[in-house]
Amino acid sequence: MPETRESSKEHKSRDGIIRLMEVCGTHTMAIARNGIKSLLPPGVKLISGPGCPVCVTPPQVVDAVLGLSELECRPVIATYGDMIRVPGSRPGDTLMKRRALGADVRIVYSPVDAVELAEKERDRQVIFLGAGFETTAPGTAAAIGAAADRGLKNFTVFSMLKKVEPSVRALASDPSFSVQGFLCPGHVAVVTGEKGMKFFSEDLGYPAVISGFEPEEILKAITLLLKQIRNGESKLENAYSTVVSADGNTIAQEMMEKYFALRSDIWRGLGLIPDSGFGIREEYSDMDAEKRFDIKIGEPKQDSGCHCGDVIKGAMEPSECPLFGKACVPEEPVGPCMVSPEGACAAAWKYRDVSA
Amino acid sequence: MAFCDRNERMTLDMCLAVPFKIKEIHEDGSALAERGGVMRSINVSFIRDPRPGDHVIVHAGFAIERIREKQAQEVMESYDELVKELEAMAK
Repeated sequence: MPETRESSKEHKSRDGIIRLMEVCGTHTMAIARNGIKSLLPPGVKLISGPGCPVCVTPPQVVDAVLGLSELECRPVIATYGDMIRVPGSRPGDTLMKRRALGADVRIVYSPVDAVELAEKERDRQVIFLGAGFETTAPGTAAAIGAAADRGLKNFTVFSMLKKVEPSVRALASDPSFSVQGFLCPGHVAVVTGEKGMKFFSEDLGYPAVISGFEPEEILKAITLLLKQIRNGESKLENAYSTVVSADGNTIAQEMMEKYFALRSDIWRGLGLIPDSGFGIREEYSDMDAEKRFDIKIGEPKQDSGCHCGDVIKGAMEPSECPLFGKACVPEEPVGPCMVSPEGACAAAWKYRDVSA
Repeated sequence: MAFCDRNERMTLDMCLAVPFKIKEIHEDGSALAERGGVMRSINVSFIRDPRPGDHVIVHAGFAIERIREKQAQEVMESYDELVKELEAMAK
C-alpha cells in the first residue's frame, strides 16, 4: 500500500455533500439491491460511474453491431445476453428485434461458447461481440487464442472491450466533476491488482478503496473512504483482499497483452478517449471482425433524448432524466442504462422502493 | 442489520462475477464447478495450479481468481468496527 499523503482534492464539495463514485456495474446492482443508499448518513451520496459495459458503448457502435445482421454472409452473432436489448441510435432497433426479423443472434455465457459454435458450424461465420472491461478481456483473448489454435477460419471478434483507467482520468479532468472518493471496481482489480488502481490516489489524488460485492464489504469500503476523507488523506486501500492481490492475475494480464493493443475508443457520454479500448493485435487480424467485414463506425443517426451519457458521468441521477420510468422502462428501454441489470437506471428503477 | 438474499441468480449477463467451488479439473483447462447446487463447466486456465475444493470467482465462464478463505474470515471479523464508524458518521 502506498504511503498516506495529503489529498490534493477538496474533501467537501461546494454544497457540502460527500459524493462517492463506484465504477462497476456489479457494485451498482449490489448497492441498489441491498438498499445501501438508504443506510448512509445524511450528506453522503453514492453515484454510479462508467462501470457498466453496455452502458458505455455508444449508439454509433451499437448501430455497427446491428449492421452485422445485414451482411450478405448472414453471420451468427454471438453475444452476452444484455447486449441484445440495447437500442442503437434509432429507438427500438435492437439485436432482439433484428433476430425477430430473421437475423441469427445467439446468446452465449462465455466467449469460449462462441468458439464452440464456430467449431460446430464451420460453414457459418460466427462473430462474437466482445464487450466489457479488463474482466471479460482476458476470456475474449483466450477465445481468440483457442480459435487460432484450432485453425478456425469462421470465427471473429468485434472488440468493444475497454480499459477502465482512461475513462476515470477523462472524467476527473472535467472541471465540473465533483466526487470526493472512489469505490474501485473489485473485479477489474482482481485482474489488474492493486497496482492497476493506484492511479486513483497517486495520480488523481482521490481517496480510493477496492471493494468486494457483499453488502457488508461495500459498507466497509464506504467506511474506509469516509475515514480517509475525515482525516484529509488520499490513499488506496484494499478491502477486497480475499481475491485482489498486489499484482493481480498475471496470467490474465499476459493473455490481454498477447492478443490486444490499446487504441482510441469512443465512450458514451465521454467521447473519444486515447488508449482506452482493447483492439485486436495486427498478428491476429484474421480474427478481427472489424477488418474481415470492413466495419465502419459512423455518426449517431438521431438523438433519442436519452441522458445515459450524463448518468454514466455522475452528472445526473437516473430519476432526474425526463424519460426515466415514463418513456424509458426496463421492458422498453430507450438507453442502455435501463437495459442492463447493472445499468444505473435499471438498478434505480428495479429497487426504487429500497433505494433512498 | 438485515440484508437481502445473497444467492444471485445464474445469469447470462456479462459483468456479474460469482463464486464457484471447483469439483473436478479436466485436462483441457476446463473444470466442473458448483454453486448453490448447480454444476457448470468453467475455464480455469487463468488460475495457477487449480485444485478440487478451491473457491474461485467466475466471470463470463472464466475463473479469474481464487478466493483466499483466511482473508474472507478477516473481512467478516471487521464488521464491528464498521458499524461503530457508521454510527459515528451519523451523529
